Amino acid sequence: MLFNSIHFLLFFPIFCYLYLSVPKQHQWKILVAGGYYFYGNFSPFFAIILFVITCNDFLAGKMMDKESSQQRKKKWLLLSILGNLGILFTFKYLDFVDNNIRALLTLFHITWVVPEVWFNNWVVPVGVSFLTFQSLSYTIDVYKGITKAEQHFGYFSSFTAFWPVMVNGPIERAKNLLPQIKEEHRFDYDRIRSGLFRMGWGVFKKAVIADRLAFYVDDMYLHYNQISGWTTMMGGLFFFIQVYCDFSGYSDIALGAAKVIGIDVMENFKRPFFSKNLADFWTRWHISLSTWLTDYVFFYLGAYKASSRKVIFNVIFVLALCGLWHGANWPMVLSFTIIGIFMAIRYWWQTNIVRVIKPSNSYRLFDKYFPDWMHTLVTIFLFLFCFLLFRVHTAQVVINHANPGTFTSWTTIAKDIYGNLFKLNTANYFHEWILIKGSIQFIVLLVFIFILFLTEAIIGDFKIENIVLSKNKITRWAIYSILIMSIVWFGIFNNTSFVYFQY
Amino acid sequence: MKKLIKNILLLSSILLLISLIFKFFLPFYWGDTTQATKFEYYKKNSSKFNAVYLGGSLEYRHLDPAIIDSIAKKNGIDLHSYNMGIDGHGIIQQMTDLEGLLKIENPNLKYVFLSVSSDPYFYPLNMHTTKWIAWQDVSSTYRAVKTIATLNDPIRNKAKFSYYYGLSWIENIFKIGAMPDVINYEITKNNTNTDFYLGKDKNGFYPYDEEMNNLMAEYKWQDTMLVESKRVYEREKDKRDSLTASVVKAFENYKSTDIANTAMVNLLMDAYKKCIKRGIQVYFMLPPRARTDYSLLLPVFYAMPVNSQIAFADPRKYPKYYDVNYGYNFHHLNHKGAVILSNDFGNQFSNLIISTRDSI
Repeated sequence: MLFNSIHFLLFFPIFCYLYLSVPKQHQWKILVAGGYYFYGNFSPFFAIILFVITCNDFLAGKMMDKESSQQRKKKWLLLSILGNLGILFTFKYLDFVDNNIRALLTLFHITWVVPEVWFNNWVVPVGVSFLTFQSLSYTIDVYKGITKAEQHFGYFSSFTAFWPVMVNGPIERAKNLLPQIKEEHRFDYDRIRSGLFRMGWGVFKKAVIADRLAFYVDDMYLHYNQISGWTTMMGGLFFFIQVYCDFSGYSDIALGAAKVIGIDVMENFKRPFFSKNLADFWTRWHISLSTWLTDYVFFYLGAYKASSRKVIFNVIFVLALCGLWHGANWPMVLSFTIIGIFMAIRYWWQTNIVRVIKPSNSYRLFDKYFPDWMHTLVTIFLFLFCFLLFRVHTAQVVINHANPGTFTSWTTIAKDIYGNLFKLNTANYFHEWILIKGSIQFIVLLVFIFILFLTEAIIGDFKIENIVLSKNKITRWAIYSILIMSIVWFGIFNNTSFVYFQY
Repeated sequence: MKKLIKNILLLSSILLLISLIFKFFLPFYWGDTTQATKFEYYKKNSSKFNAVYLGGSLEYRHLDPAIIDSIAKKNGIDLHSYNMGIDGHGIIQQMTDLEGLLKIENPNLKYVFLSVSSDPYFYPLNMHTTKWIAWQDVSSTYRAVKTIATLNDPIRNKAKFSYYYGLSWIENIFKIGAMPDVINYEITKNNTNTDFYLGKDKNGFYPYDEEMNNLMAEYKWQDTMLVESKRVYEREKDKRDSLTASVVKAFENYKSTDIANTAMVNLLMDAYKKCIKRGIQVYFMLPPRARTDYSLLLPVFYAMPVNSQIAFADPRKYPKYYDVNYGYNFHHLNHKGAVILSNDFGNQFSNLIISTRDSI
């Protein structure tokens, strides 16, 4: 079930009413039922996968609790890791690996024994990366002694089937979620009001901005070989904002929905467009994933305690892994690896150059003439540069689907996109691109992007719902009305294309 | 809980009230540039015309008022007709179009032509588009749901489409996702750069062959679809033949005792009576190449008053309309075909007028 569907509009109030009205001992049952209904709605098969993950990690956790030696616990942890990553690999990466082996063997004129049709039509369970990582964090935490193993299968099932975060995160930790699930939750007007406002803010970002930006981004990639530098630059920025609004909008809805039923979920985005550097960016963007990778991979590899060379390798490796997590395709892996390389360069610069020159006057001058907003601009540009690759695989699939019989490789698209990036002296396909949906749509888009960033600049690191709810009644109602009207009147809830059925 | 529900209702009421304001200054055709162009032109020039063709693309792309008027003139009939057919308009939307047409002051209006070429179903991909939601109101939804209920289809299908109509109406009430198009309409309504939709004679006839040379549909990829539909039509002989065969079969199987769908008949007869009351004569057209099954359309068409029927859909009588040389795509004629059809139409209409005159 999608958050921006009519189905969810019906599901949500019914779920909340049931959950908040049943006695405490039955609340977990509503959570589990709601979770399986929510997830099984995509496909009943997905619900089976969820059940398998739940059983695997519940068993692993319980067995680890029984074992006294770390050595024995490790075996159960291994079972959990193999189970989760096995599911993830089977559904998400098997086709990717198969294709790469095939391509590699073709270079040596060897025929791969596995027929091509075996893996290429497998349906990837929605949000399987989020599900497995969330569940995996539980068993690792139990192994490390951070969390106690859950003895009640029902509560544990509520944790894995906690629908607000199930499909698109944030990737929650058991130590935060499980204790809250066990508490009694009752109707609380202020919490519900606050949660609903946060959900509304999320829908605004998703339906009004992200989905409107999608027209322009899709079109830019479709015309990858005709566009000028201006279109690439603006399209890249639009894509960056689109991903942010789409993803953070979804997180806002998840946070808001959880809040309505009395559960606080971790923040996933904190104004990433105001980041001062690449490292700062990762503390603001998809926080639940970056902290997951930091806690369970980067620290495992030695974090910053290792040698300088090792740290550089670790940073690049973790970012490449992050790319692989985002999508089983090379452009995605490459885009994150490049970010990793930039971060590694920054690390080297900070530890080897800045440390030495910091006390000097020249550094103070540099600091003076290179203020925060310039750091922010450079950070955004670096991410924009890498994010152009992020979307190349999807573009390749669309382009090849639209032109059967011809094959365009992702490298061709990437080469053209990056080749165009610096052609700022031409305006090929710039005006047409801006006006693709008409001048009104473009102006509306710019106005709403401006409103979004202005709001983020004003609220700072505070939660938007807390700021709004602290205002007086008239201001509050004015904000509610403007938000609702913006969503209803300017939201994109359609394919906006009219197909004459006579064709 | 009560407070929350009260506040949600209050907020919805504020939104509803503000949204309803738009109803007072937006015409029902604001969501469709083609229709807005055609209606606005007619509004400004209504006194020039005494006959209007309503319907979908089967009228818009096929009926050339210039040819029909000239044939009528040769037969001593004073006819100045205007083609108000709009792509995608089915039987329900045609009723809204008629109501809109009758609201426009035109003391000269003598004839209205209604199309019998579709059922109330529509292509679900069109849901949520401004073009689809802009015209929906309480009466159109009521008409649609009532008509769908009487169709001989699985209940699931009927429930689905009734829900779609209801949802589209709600979307129009609240103007869901439609504000940029409202603004766009208000800003551009007096522009004349969409006048090409009126055709070169400014009488509302615009065949697909001409549009192909002037591709600038509201949504870019429709242009591609238009061109592609021609290619597919020319390429796929088997599909062409099977479509024609199914039309032939429907005509062969038709018996005058076949029971017509009452809701569709009532809908068209209501329109008929409404026009007669105003002294406007109504004619019903049964065009060729309709997408809807002719076994549903034929009993409805023949349930209309006998002296108001204009039919040219039977492939046995009019084989040219199903000939590939006169077709643009599976459901439309090309300009050449439209010329022949307009000639036939003019003759049939003139004969009807003459025979009615003689009988008096």
